[in-house]
Amino acid sequence: MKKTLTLITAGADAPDPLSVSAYESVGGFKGLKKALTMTPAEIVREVLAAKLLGRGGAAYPAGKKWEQLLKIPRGPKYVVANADEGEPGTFKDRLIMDKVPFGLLEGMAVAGHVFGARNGYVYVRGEYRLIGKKLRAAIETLKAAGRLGENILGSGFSFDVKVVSGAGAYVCGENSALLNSTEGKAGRPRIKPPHLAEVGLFLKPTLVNNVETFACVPSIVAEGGERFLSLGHPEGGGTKLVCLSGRVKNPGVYEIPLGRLTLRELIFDPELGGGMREGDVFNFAHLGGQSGPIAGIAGLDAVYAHSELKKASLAVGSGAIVVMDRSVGILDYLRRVSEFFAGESCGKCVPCREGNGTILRYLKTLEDGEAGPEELRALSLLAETMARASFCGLGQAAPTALESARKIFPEEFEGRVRRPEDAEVREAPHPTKFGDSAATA
Amino acid sequence: MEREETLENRGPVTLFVDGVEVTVPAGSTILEAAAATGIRVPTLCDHPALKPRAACRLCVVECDGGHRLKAACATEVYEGARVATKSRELLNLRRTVLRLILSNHPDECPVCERNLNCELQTLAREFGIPRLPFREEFPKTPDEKDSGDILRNPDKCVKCGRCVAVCREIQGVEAAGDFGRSRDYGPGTPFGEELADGPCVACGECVLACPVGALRERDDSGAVLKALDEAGKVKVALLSPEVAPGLEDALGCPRGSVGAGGTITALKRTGFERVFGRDAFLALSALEEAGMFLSSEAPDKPFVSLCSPRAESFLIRGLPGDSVIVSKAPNPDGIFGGIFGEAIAASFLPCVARKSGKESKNPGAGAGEVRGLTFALNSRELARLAKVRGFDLAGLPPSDFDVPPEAARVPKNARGIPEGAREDFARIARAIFALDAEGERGRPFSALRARNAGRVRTLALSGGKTADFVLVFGTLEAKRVLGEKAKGVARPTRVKVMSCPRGCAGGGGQVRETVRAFPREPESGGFAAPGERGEPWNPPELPGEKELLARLFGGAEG
Ligand SMILES: Cc1cc2nc3c(=O)[nH]c(=O)nc-3n(C[C@H](O)[C@H](O)[C@H](O)COP(=O)(O)O)c2cc1C
Ligand code: SF4
Ligand code: SF4
Ligand code: SF4
Ligand code: FES
Repeated sequence: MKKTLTLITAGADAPDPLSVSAYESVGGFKGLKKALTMTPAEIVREVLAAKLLGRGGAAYPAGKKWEQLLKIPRGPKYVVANADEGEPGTFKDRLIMDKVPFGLLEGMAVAGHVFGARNGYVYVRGEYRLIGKKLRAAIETLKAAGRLGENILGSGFSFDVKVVSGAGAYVCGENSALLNSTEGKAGRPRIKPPHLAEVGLFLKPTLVNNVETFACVPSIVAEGGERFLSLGHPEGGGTKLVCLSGRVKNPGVYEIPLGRLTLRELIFDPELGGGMREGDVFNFAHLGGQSGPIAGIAGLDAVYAHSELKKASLAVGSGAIVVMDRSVGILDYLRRVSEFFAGESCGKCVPCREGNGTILRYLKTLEDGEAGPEELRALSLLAETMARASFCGLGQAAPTALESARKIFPEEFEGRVRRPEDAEVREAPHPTKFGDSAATA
Repeated sequence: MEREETLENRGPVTLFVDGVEVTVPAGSTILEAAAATGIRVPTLCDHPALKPRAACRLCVVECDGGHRLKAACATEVYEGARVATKSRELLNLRRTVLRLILSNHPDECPVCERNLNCELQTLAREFGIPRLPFREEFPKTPDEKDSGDILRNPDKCVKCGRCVAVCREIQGVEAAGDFGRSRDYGPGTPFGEELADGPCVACGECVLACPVGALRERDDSGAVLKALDEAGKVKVALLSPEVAPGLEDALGCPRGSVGAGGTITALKRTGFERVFGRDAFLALSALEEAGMFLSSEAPDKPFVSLCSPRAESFLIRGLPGDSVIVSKAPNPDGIFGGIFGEAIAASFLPCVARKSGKESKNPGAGAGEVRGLTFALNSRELARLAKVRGFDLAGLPPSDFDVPPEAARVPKNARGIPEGAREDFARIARAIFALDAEGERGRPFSALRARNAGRVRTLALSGGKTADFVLVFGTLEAKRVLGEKAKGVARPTRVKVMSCPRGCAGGGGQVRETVRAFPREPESGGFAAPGERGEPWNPPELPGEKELLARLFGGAEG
């Protein structure tokens, strides 16, 4: 049996992604047409039944998000697609926008119908300039075909979509920073609450979903939430676009059913990753982007589904799987991750702005064999402080890879620690134990 | 604040802080609820007059046992919340956050202007941080970014955003914003221009809001001491009594311990031959302005008096052309400087803006501009002067103010007032004097949060006519009031703008209160405001008024 499915990617191999008839020949606009005959509450019920978990990384149940927004009486409401795709190793939203842009737009139109929204926005990362252009063309095509714009399919419902170009910062993918950036403000996260469902774009109630999340919606509406659920894992339905990269034979985007395949299969099955490249030996995989956890050999038997991976202290995240071989040292790798976050921190809050830089510094010390037990302890302390006290998801998730790697490769950390007899006389960074002072007693 | 507007209609909320039940008004923050149970959660970026930024993360608390912590300063209370503020774990996390802030803070406390009056230092002491942590190397302090009168030391900046917020939310100027990312994030100006080249009105509110020594005014006390050594020049000082609280604070003396008398003695011993009080000059300034107001050619346009020359570009340029008359009457310092133009003339008042006033590059053009003044020093600089000279201001024998010279008692513009308008002239001058003096006495800190909408006093003039006198605090409110008045006024209206939202006594050159010491209200001067808004108002007589008018016009006026 085929390991991959084509729920979202149906039509991805059509020669012209902007052909409305080609899209419709693989079931396109069935969802939107049906949605226009349904009430908003009915549609939300289907999304709830589908157990669609947000595909942007945080895996928040889309049905719940839609339900909350539907309850808010005020309008106008806005529908925003997060196409910032800032997680390194993630390139699946790009595939959707490049090959099946109508899938995204159809999903957004359904949402527009549900929330009585007149306007939608796609926030496309700055680096995807050509994709943005393509998306604009797709919007024009659909408007001309009466599938977007005024009076869609003669239903009286009108919905327009605009493409906004991103500011080129990772943190702009965070949904409130994304809205700030869309409004032309600096792309820094907002204080929440108020939640975006209450005070979102231009202070109006707003839905923000990932591109892939929207792309799942047409099939949920067309075929029903139950069927979508049945394709995936009982706790998170449907398919997931997985981005395989690194030292695998067949890097690329694969649409796979959730809950059917192990990580090992994803990486090693000939139909999928195809195993390590010639001569390479698997060392670890980084899941879900830079903000995700590291999987070692022991993690490979985990089933690829949100709840299953969570049990193994892993995560789906954005769907990225970056596979590394033995030539890549974990400390070297973590240092690069840390460099990434130190550079991408928006700088607003202390734990992230100062924490990332300090972690980076200590990792270098550790790599150089200069770190003592104090530095190791400081690394844990910093990681915990960042995870719990940072303002937004960036700082909270920044130490995830480090924390998971420490469990998998303890020897890479403890083993590198400078033994007391090696120590030159130099000042320890933590001359007292934490919590020793009266102030913390 | 939006927050306050919405809570009227919501009832009280009951929650538990460290197990203690507490009921607070809806819309309160967890920080406020904790304070109501007697717990002070540490804060750094929070400021009671500003919207929360939740940036420093020192105030994190646990809500309902959740793993992700909440910033107490930015989280609204909700019914039944179970808030933990002081678990050992939480204290350790906060400690790490504080250590991170300290990790790249210069170790220059002993030579920092804010030593012993710094919120970061206080926190470090309260947390018992034994030494500067997580350090690789001490950052080198580059030359302070010179922004004219306001200097910024980026190394000392803890990036709390209070300066930017006060400029935007309280003053409405938006001279500064948040720029950069990662470690380069921090307050700045668009394209890195000098503060003085933007809309900044030099009020110094940002200096007051800064919790650390990252912002300060240019210190002219050294230059004064040097100038006092110059031979062959007369040295005179103008001392405003409003400096007292700032002076006492900066000297570490209790409030009310330093009097004008001791300060006069100190100034004299420092080298000033004459030390004058402000009232005579204020009265003269009021008389000058009354003359101009009375002879205004466009009584349907508001007659606007600004305390700071830098406010003019911000407040007036945005208005439709020629919709207001900007007073060119000299302020008290201008009168003083005018008389002592040849001397070394230093004015001591709790103001930062005056520094630029005396340096206006475009003489004669600006309102509130001061010519002839050599130095304008604020309360904190006066304290430095006293410290350098080793004066114990509270213990010095008191001296009296010198009697102002004859010239300080003759207004120039008053002479053209026609016979019939003399009584009006006297009344208007008094009104202006009373209002300006009130503005200088200041108002409490809590006023920052509420819109003050300007105070209007209506004065009855001869022939059944009336005139309005409006006092506005802060540039945000001034902008609004002027926008309204610029549409036209039904009767002669004089609008006095005090750039500082708390007036001179709470001005930018005054007490650097730290939020950690709150709630404390700075002096409001104890000047009982005469009359209520909109009611006819009988202002008190100005000092020496009777003799002066007799001399000017040959007869006393009512
Ligand atoms: C630092 C940061 C970066 C993020 N970047 C992205 C991104 O590039 N694309 C995305 O879809 N979601 C991103 N997210 C998640 C969004 O905040 C948000 O959860 C998501 O857009 C919601 O859509 P979903 O529920 O459909 O996944 C990011 C979150 C954080 C904290
Ligand atoms: S965690 Fe803090 S510094 Fe990091 S991106 Fe979020 S708000 Fe900015
Ligand atoms: S001095 Fe006043 S106007 Fe200038 S930046 Fe500071 S707060 Fe803003
Ligand atoms: S200059 Fe002062 S007030 Fe402004 S951000 Fe820095 S520390 Fe805060
Ligand atoms: S985050 Fe609350 S005081 Fe700074």
